[in-house]
Amino acid sequence: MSCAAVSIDFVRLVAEQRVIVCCGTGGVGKTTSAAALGVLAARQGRRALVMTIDPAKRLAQAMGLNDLDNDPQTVAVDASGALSAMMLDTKRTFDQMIETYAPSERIRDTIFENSYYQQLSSSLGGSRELIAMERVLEIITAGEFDLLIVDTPPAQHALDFLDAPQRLIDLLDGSLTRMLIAPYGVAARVQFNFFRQSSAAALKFMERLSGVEMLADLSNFLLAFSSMFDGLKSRSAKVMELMNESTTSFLLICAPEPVSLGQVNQFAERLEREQIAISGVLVNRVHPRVAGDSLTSDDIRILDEVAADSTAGRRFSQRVSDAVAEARALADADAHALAALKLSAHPSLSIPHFNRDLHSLDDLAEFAEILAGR
Amino acid sequence: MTDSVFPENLIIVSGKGGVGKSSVAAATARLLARSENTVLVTLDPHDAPHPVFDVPLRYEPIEVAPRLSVCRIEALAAVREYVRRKLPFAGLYDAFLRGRMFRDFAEAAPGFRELMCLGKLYDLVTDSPFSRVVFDAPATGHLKTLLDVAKTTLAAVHVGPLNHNARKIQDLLLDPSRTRVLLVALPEEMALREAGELQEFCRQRRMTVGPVVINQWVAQRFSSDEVSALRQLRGSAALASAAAVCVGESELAAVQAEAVASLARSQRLHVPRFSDASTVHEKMIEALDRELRSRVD
Repeated sequence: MSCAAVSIDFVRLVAEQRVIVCCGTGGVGKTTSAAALGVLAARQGRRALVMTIDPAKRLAQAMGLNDLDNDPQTVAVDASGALSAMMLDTKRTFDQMIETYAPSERIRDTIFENSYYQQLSSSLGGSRELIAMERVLEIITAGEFDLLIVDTPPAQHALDFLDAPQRLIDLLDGSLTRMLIAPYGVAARVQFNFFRQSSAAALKFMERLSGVEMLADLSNFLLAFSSMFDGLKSRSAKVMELMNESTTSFLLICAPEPVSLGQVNQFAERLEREQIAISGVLVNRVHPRVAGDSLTSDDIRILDEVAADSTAGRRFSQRVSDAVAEARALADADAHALAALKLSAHPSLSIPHFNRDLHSLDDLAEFAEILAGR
Repeated sequence: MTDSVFPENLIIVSGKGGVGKSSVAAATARLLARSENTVLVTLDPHDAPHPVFDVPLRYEPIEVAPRLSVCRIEALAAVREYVRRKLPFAGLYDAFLRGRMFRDFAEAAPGFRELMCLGKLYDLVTDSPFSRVVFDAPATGHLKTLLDVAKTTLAAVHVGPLNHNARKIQDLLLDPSRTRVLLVALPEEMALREAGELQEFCRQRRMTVGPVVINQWVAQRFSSDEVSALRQLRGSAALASAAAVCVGESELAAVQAEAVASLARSQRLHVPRFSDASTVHEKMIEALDRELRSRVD
């Protein structure tokens, strides 16, 4: 395959990195790949932690996770190192963060009781990504693990993982916040009549659109939350530092489909601009080339002798030929799609389609062996 | 006829990310557009051309085929349109509506963007040249929030335009004769689980939901005797390779059949896995049409 000029050296990667962030669009096998990478790391003697967001039930069970675990659980793997896994609980981590940064109990409780916070912590765009980043930083700071493998939240666009936290912080610290909390803050004391008039008009307009209760809720929340901006912003700066370190790298995961590959291209360009290391491109579910030549008339005869009494419909040998033709076409289509991958600068690895769901530790071990090139 | 299969005005197409939602939504819209004026609507916030029709997506519908248009709903544009139509002296607000502060407000106010988008969807269904609206909706998790946003707003805002809008939208979404949620999944555990959860969610709200489009379906081509024979086959390299391909395909088909088994056949529309990218959209339409007709018969 044209993109596979250099293969990813996963053995070296898990030995040298401290953080590997797995990125990609939904449905490309991100979680399974992250778990397999964890198994490989443990087998290479590392103490690895896989942080996942929403794993398939059977995969979660195989790793000994249930819905309530926000803390690392040991996974029973046969390895010289150790493997742990955890599922990220956004709401709980957000609550813990408020506990840590709220300057007083009163402010903490005001935030917890605010209906706007309840929505923010569970569903507002960017909160999951922000929380994932926060947890990454905590785990790395605690230093209990040699390697942290992060499975990013499912997003329509891979770039959201990088952009969403900043968008959220900008929003919470933007002009809207300043206006809504102004009556209590410095701006109220400064005699800027023009500012006050125009913001009063804006407030009135927004009230008219959204209703006064919603605006009051939002305003109360922002007021309470503003005391924590400094903590939040310095954490966010630390996360960016961590992302830029040489022991952190991003593994781009995709499927051989135009949309998925297109996003990987965009994401790679972005990471390059931010000078964040890319460990490579993992292409899952690739249909392998069919070995050998076309079937000869002798082959066809053998097939028809094997299952001569085929019922109505296509003869056995014809169905075999159909299946082979389809497999060849699928492999061609994947190769064609992969040719559009503009990432010759990065190593890549194509993983064959497994023809089944991977959900046991044995399955992960098999996947890990392929990653290791064995 | 297709019409009798999906008689609703609004068809919401959703499923887990990466299952081919947009392709299925496009195929559904093409089927409906054979006889009726149809618009295919997306919410994708990123500025990319439509993956099937390859035209730039704009707020104003663009015609891509006879009786078929596509458009993209964007919350801020919907607010501007709303203000222009509903408020006196709308021009006064224009600069403000285009400013950073309002963008932040729309982002921060819970459900505001969603409600404005749904308001536009409502207008397309009730007051537009289109008799059918196919909504290429966000993935299941986000769609659930979207379907409940009207209810949440009604609980929080008791008067004003937002309340009025929310009530209309709520009535449309929950009307089983006007709105249907069409589910899309791959024949795999996670995708089916998400479709199942959304189905349950809709049923609790007495919405019309289903069937589930099973995308990339691999039908079983061989009997178990034939597969055993293939496993024991001795012969040329080509024959060995062909046998391996067939055994692999048969295993995949068996895994898929097991994965979908909990859904009744009448609740599934099978769309086969297609290998030729250049004809995939045409073939998907044919497959959907065939499956829908066989349901009626």
